[in-house]
Amino acid sequence: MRKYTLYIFTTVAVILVLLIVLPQILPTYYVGLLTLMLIYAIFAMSLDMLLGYTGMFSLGHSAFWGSAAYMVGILNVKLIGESNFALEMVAGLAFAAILAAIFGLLVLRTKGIYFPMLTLALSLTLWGVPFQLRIFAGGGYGIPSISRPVLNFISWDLTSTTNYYYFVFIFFIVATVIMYLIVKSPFGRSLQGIRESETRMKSLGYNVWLYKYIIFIIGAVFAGLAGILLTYYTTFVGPSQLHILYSFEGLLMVVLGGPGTLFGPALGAAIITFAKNIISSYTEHWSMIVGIIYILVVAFFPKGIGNLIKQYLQKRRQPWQYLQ
Amino acid sequence: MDFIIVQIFNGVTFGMLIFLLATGLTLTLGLMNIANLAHGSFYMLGGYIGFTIALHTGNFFLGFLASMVSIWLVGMLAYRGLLQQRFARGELSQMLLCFGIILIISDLCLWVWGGFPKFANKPMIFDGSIEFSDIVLPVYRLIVIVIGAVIALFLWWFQAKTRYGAIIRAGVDDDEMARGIGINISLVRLLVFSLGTALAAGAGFLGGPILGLYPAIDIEVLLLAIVVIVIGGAGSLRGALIGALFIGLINSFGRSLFPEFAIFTIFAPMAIVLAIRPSGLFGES
Amino acid sequence: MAILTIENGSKKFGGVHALEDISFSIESGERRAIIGPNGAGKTTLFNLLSGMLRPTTGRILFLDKDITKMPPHKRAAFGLARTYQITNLFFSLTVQENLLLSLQVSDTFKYSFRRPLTADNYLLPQVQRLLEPWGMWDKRDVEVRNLSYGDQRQLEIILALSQNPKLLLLDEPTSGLSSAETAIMVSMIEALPQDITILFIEHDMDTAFRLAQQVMVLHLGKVLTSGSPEEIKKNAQIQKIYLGEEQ
Repeated sequence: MRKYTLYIFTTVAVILVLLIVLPQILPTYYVGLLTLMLIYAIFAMSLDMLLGYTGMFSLGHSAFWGSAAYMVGILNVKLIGESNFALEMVAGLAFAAILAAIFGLLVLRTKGIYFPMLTLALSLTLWGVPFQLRIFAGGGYGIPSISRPVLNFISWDLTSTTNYYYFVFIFFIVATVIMYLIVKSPFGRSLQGIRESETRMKSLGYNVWLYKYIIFIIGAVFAGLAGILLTYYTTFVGPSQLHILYSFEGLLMVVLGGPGTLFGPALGAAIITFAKNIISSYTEHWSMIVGIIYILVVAFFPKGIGNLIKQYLQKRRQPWQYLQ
Repeated sequence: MDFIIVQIFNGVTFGMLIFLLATGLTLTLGLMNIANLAHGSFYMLGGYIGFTIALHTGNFFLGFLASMVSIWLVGMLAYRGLLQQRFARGELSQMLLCFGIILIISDLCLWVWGGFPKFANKPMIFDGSIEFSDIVLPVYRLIVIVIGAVIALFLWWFQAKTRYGAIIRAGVDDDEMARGIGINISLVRLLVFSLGTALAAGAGFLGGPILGLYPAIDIEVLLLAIVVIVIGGAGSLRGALIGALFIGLINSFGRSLFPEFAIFTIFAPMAIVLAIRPSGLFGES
Repeated sequence: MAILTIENGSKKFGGVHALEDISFSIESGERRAIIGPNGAGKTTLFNLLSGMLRPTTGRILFLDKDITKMPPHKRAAFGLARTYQITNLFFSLTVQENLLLSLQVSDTFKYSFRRPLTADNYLLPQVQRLLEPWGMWDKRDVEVRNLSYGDQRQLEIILALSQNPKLLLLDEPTSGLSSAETAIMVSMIEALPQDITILFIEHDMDTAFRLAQQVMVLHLGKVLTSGSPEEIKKNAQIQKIYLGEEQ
């Protein structure tokens, strides 16, 4: 048991060290790529809380990260005209939370296959909204020239890619720790119970609806965080950020990485982001390749990398379990 | 009054297209509990293929046929090759496979047909309009309504009067029981699935001159199909027809009366139905 | 004292009456079996009592409280627990985690995000007390999907017991078990504390008659008759129903 914890501790330490040190030696392009990986990792982990842990196939997750991003864009460029980080962050996250609170009321009335279909429908509907609000939200052109946060308490120039990377890194660490605490807590265990058997959970005395509602909102808030960080990175927000493609990519990251592990989807996010970047420089057909990867993952890798790793480790720790 | 007639006419036209699209989705959902989310992609691909054939042969009906036959084959391939496999047992796996299909077809269409919207030319015979008092009703849209109605009637007859129809209505999912009555249930499922996709393709082709064909249309029509299912309930042809006509009419009136809020005209009825009767108006509760 | 009463209960699905004219009372501490041919409506009755389904007509009173409109999770809080005919456990979690899920309900700390799971070490003694009598304490770290079917059926009941129920609904507890496993199960159920009222569905007549003080026969959605095991055994009508069904 001790050796196992040591392995995990060492791996985590190594990864952290790499994440801190690499940006000092890598060219700016790769630092940007690393930034994206961390942002997508937050997004993927937030989706994993819903999908992997609770068993909620939320296909509309892009709605939350897009709407938080839009809130930031609107405040930053249209309404205030200058950066007010605290306000933007709070407003963005709050907007995602409120949206989830409203969507949740509708979406949680459905069962089975209807739930994913409905989350899909809602996020598709939302995608069309910016096109209608041309003055307010920039229509199809989006809102460009969003300025990165200006922090009043430290003089840290976030327009530099490397500096912005560390900014994102801090949020990544905080977000990961919080999400980890959530899933490892009794609350998190309840979520897994819901995934395994809603009826049994009800029989045991759990208000299953309330749990799903709460985690739906929490997941949306973290997705919103990722969306805000992305928008600061690109200094732009447009309808594309509400596009279903992000939900699909996020879903793939979770499934490839291994649902229900948290670290798996983070890894999946890193892999897909990296692959996307490399492959996109050679061909325009990235989405077709994503489609093919989808099919391959379902056919050959259904548990995902994370779960395969977990299974392997468990077999080494508790081989007697499998002798039944 | 004239305004209302035109809007109803347009609404019914649009509704018929959506009905053809949603039929496949509702039947596969009801019979096999598979949500074929790639349905919009079949609409798009069928539309594009039919458009190309019609363009090159100059024959509208050939294009219509080509769209349906080609997607019928693609549908069978998708079902046999992917959705029927053992790895496609769970709901999540099925959805993921559908996403794979969506992404592949979407990119393929962009590759082959490019990003500029295609508006097919209506065939000459249909290129007129009927005029009375101050109303101008394009003949083509009338044809679409007629075709939609004919197919709806055929499907109703098939469901109500034939043995296979009874099976589909009953939603038999017990394989052994079905085989016991002498029905090859897997063949039935394959045919229902591919028929559904073929109808979607036909809708894509017919809708070409009206809605156009462009890269984002697969998800736009998917959204409409999902809304119809939510409102009408899964597995119910009647629900699909009524839901589709309802959405068509709302969309039509909504677009002309409140163009800025067009999105909400779709969203609102869906939200209301969900709040009151989550399984849809005609669905199995 | 009547712990459970159902008055005029019925359940319709579409045009079909799954249950009709259901009225009975169970005394506290009683052991009652529900028997009847397949399709008689037994599990539907359980679904009504546990709250998974709403009755079309009728009232259900539990401990003198009208629970007809109460959702299942609230009924559980009142002391109603049930098991399922088709094993309904948390399959990818371990035996221990299954029980912890049940035990942590009574604690408001189930809503706590901050306490890591090691903090629930204080629940472990309870887990041990629940598992040991059934010989499952040393299997506590096994994932439920890796357990044998017999062990799963036992856990099905242990999980319900962990809720400290006043009324226990057992849906075919011996379903699918070998005769040896059935014997063990029967003796464990017999040994349960007398203050737990047990209502159970059984297909195995021997088990039903051995464990029950009262037997209720359900047929085509109605309560056909009710009585002591001896009375039911001698009832010719019932024999005809069962023999008739066996054709």
